[in-house]
Amino acid sequence: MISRKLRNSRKRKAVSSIIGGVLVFGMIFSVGTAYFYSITQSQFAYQKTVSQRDNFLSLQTQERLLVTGMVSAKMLQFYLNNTGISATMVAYWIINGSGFVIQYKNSSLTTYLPAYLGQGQSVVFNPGITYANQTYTIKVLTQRGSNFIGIYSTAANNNPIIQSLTASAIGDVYITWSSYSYYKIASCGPNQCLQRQGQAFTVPTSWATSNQMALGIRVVDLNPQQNNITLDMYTTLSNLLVPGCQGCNFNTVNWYIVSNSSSGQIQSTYSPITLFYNKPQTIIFGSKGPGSFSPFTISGGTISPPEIALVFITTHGCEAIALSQCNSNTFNYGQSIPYVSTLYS
Amino acid sequence: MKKRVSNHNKSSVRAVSVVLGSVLMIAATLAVGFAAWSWASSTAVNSENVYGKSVASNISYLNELFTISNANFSSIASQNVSVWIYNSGNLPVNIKQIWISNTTAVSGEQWSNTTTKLSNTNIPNCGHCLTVPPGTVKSIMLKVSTPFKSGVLYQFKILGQYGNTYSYEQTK
Repeated sequence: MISRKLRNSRKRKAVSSIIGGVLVFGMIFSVGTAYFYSITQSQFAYQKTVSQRDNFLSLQTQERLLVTGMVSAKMLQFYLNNTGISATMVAYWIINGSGFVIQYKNSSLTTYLPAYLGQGQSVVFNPGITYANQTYTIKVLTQRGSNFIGIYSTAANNNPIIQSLTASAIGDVYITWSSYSYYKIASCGPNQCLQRQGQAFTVPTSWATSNQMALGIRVVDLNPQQNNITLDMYTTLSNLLVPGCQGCNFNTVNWYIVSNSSSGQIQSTYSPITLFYNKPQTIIFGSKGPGSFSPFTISGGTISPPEIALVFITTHGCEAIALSQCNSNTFNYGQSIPYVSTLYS
Repeated sequence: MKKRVSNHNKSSVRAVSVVLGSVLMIAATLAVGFAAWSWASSTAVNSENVYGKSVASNISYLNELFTISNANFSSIASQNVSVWIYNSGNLPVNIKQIWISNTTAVSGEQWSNTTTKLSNTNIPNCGHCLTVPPGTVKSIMLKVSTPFKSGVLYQFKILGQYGNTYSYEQTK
């Protein structure tokens, strides 16, 4: 009897302890969990925002836009070259020599904005302002809030040394020697692409006579008036192969200019290339004839290795004339550049 | 027999008091327990709210991104200047105050936007504010009491709703 009583009383104690324990645990758990959940969520949201802001500021510092003012056909233009990460231009201001804003455009005022610029891409804006022989400041705003400024000034043009060098001694278009390269023209899907092989000061004859070859060189427009130069389809690169015997004839090989995309794909039809003042640009020669792209291989008997070739780059087209108005009636530019050679080994 | 009856009554009386005692103890325990739970719970909720508000304020501060992109001194009215403000963030920015000061003057002559009042908004803690939607440039024409002088460097400073500031300098 006693043992049964004791057993019953022990049973009751055990149940109440469990209930009590469960209640206490439930109370602590409910309060603690709710508290920590709330704090964790707030902390997560905060960290996410900090991370987003850091990322935004990091991207903002990587934006690089080069703004260059220029004059074409007496109209003020500006050239925008993206040398940083992809950026979107959302607004621009043009300020005259007196410091007053003469034009402001944003996406609601012009259809040209916002203008997306991928890495290495460039674009020319024509704000429709007639050049009035004064200094212009062009201010550009990107979507990430960065400001870039370009100035168009004629002050540098009065330098007689530059004028004599460019206009009299050398010409408007300079070449960068070290950039002279030869390329293999290879298929890439439905298009033809350029594959750089190396510097073109020496080209193996066996390679040149078994592959479709193109030649390229970086040029820069240093016209003293800072005018842009448009190259037409008759711009060529010629090789005059110097014969190894006296009185023998020169063999010649000509490559016409081609236009290619930033990814190296060659366009089937040449689109005139505009060289902007002080903006280096690589031009490629790889076509047998002008206009339509037709790659070719140098025939085997043309070269007698080792044979040196005089290289002439003949540029032709328009100067200070808008691309759309550059045609056979307005051609006003032509230059021959005889400064490099190629040895066919 | 008598003894047995009296013993039985005694045990009955004792049993009632034990039950009552237990009920009272349970009630007291539960009351104290729930009181403690409610206090802990409300304290935790208050703490969560305070922390949450603090975090929300920090988040709003971090999300408030704006710049002064340009300023243009009027060529006609020498007391007027246009300021372009760009919101580079993803949320609307409310500009609470704009200061224009003459940085070259020793006295540091300073103007606030008293002559050109910002429009009244119903935004809490903002009142007279200039709202700039995300990704847009908004210009505001400000008129100050003293004419701007040519060749003097002026500083423009703007204050956002959440405490961010941006300074910009331009010479007239």
